[in-house]
Amino acid sequence: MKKVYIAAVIVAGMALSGCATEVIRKEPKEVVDLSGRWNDTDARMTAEEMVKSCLETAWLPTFNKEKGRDPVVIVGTVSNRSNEHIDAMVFVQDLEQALVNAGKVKFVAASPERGEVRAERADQQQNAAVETRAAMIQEKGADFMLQGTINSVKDEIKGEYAILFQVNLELVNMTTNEKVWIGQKKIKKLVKRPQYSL
Amino acid sequence: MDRPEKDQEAGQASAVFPLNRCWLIIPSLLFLSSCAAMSGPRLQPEITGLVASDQVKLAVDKIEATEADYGQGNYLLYYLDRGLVEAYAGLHAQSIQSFEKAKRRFEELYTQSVSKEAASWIGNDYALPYRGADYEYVFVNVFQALNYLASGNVNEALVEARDLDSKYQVVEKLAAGGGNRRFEDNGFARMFMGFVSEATGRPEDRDNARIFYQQAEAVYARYYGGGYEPQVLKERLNAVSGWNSGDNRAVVYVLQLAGFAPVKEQLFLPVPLEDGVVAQVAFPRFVARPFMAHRGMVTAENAAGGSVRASTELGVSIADLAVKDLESRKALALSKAVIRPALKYMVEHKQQENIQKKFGRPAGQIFGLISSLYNIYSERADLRSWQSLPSEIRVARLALDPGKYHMRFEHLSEDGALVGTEELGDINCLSGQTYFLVSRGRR
Repeated sequence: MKKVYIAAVIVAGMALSGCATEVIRKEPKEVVDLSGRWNDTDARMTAEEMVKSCLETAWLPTFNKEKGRDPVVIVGTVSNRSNEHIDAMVFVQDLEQALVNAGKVKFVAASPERGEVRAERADQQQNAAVETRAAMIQEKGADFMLQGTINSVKDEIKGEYAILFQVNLELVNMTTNEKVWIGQKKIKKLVKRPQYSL
Repeated sequence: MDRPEKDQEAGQASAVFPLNRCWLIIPSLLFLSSCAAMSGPRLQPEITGLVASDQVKLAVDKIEATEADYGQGNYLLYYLDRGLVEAYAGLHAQSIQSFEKAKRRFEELYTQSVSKEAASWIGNDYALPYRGADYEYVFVNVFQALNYLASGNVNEALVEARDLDSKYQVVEKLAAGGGNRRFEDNGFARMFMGFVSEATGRPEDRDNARIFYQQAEAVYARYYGGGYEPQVLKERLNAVSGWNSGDNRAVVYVLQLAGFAPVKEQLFLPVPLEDGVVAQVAFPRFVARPFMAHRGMVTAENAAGGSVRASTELGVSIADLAVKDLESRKALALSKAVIRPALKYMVEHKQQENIQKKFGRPAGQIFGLISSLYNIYSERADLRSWQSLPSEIRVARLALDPGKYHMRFEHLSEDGALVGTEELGDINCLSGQTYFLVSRGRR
C-alpha cells in the first residue's frame, strides 16, 4: 500500500511540474523556428544579407567617384504581399540598422519620423534658447530610396507544407528614377506536422 | 490487504464492498469525469442572445471574462465566438487578435491526440477538442478581412484573401484524391475576396479579382446546380474581364449579416442490449433559428437630397452550408454513435461477469445498473458549433459620385415589409475608392 502512495505522489508531482510555466531566455541572434512563419530571424538575416549585397555592387563606388561623398539613402515602403500578416516595420528597421552599421552610406529618417522631428524643430523655434535651436530648412535630401516587397508561395498537402518567402528590394535614384540595384533573397521552409500524438 | 478484521471474518458476501471498491470507483470516476465534458459551452446562447438584443458591449464583457466557462476542449470555439462578437462591437483590433488565436488553434488541431480519441470512445465526443467545421474555417478569413477593412488596411485584408486561396489549393489537391469538398462550397468567400482585391486599385490585384470571381462563379454553379448566382458577381466579372472602363465613382459594399447560424440538437435512440442493459445512440442535427430580416435595402443620401438605393442579394446561406457540412459527415458520426455503445457494452459485460463470479449475482446486477446509467448519461452527440455566425450574408453594391453620403439600411421581411432601420453612418466617398460597411441588425 505504501508503494501505491509513493507512486501516486510521484505521478502527482510530475503532473504538477508539467503545469508550471517555463521561460527560457534566448540570444536575439539565435535561430528559433516554431511554426514556419516569417519571424524576427528571417527579418534580421534578410536585411543583413541584402544590405551587404547592395553595398558591394558598382553603384556605390560610381557615386562616390562622381560626387566625392557618401550617398544619402532613405528606406521607403516595404509592402507585404505574402499570405501571412508580417510586420514590415520590423524588417524596415532591420534594414535601417544594417545600412547605418555598414558605414558606407548616410541615412536619413523616413517620412513618418520626419514629421515628428519637424514638429519638434518648429517647437524649438518658439520655446528653446536661441543658441540651442536646430536650424530650419537644413534637412539632408536623399539621393536614393530603398523600397520593396515581401512575397510568399505556399505549397501544402496533408500535414506538410513548403513555404517560400521572397524579398525583393530596389534602390531607386531619387533624381532620375533609375534603379541602380535590384536584390532578391529567398527563404524556403519545410514544415511537417504529425497527424497523431499521444 | 488492509481490510478491517471484521469484514475478513464475515465471509465473502459482506466482503464485496470493502474488498473491491475499485469496481464501483471505476465507473463512478468515468461517470464523474464525463460529467465535466458532457456538453458544449453553456454560455453560447447567452452571448448570441445579448448580440441579438443589440447589447454587444455587454456580450464582449461577458465573453472576455469567461474563457474558462467554454471548457478546456473548446479553446477554438471560444476564440471564434469572441473574435466575432468583438467584431460586431466594432472592436476590430481585439477581434484580429482573437481570430489569429483561432487560426493558430486550427493549425494545432491538425495533430490528433490518440489518448483523447480513445477517451471519446469510452465517453463521448466532448472528450475531443472542438476542431471546427470546414465552412467555419473559411469564415475566419472573411471576418478577419472585414476587420482589416474596417481598420482601413486593405493590404492586410488581402493577406486574408491569399491565405484563403492557399487553403482552397490544399482542398483541391485533397479533392483530386477523393477528399471532401464541403470546405470549397463557399462561393461567397471567393467573391468577397474578389471585392477586396479590386479595392486596392492596383492592376495586378484587379487580375487576382478576376480569378476569384471566376472561381466563385464555378462554385455557385456547382452548389446551386446553375440555379443561382449573385447579380453583383456577374457584373464584377464582366467589369474586370474587359478593359478598365475608367469609372472613377466610389464603390460602397454593404454586407447584411442576417439572423444567427443554426444550432445543433441531439436525437436519441434507446438500444436495449442483452442482460437488461440499456444503451442509447445519440446523433446531432441542425435546427434553424428563425429571424425576420431576410432582405435589406441600402440608401445613400447626399446633402443635396439626392439618393441612391440598392437591395441586398444572397451571398451565402451559412445555415445551408452547416446542414450540408453535417450531412457530409453523417455516415462517420452515425457509425461511431452505433459502435461506441456496443464497445462499451462488451467491456462492461466482461467486467460484470468477473464481478458476478467473484462477489455474487447481486453485485453483478448493481454493476450492470450503474453501467446502464453511465451509458445513457455519457452517450451524447457533439452539439458544438460556431453559434455567433449569422444565418445568411447578403450583399449590396452602390456606385456613388464623389461626395459625402449618409448611409441608411432598411431590414425587410421575406415579403418586403419593413422590419427595422439601421443608421450605418456617414461616408466621405472619394473618387475610385472602395468602402465596406456591415449591417449587423439581426431581427
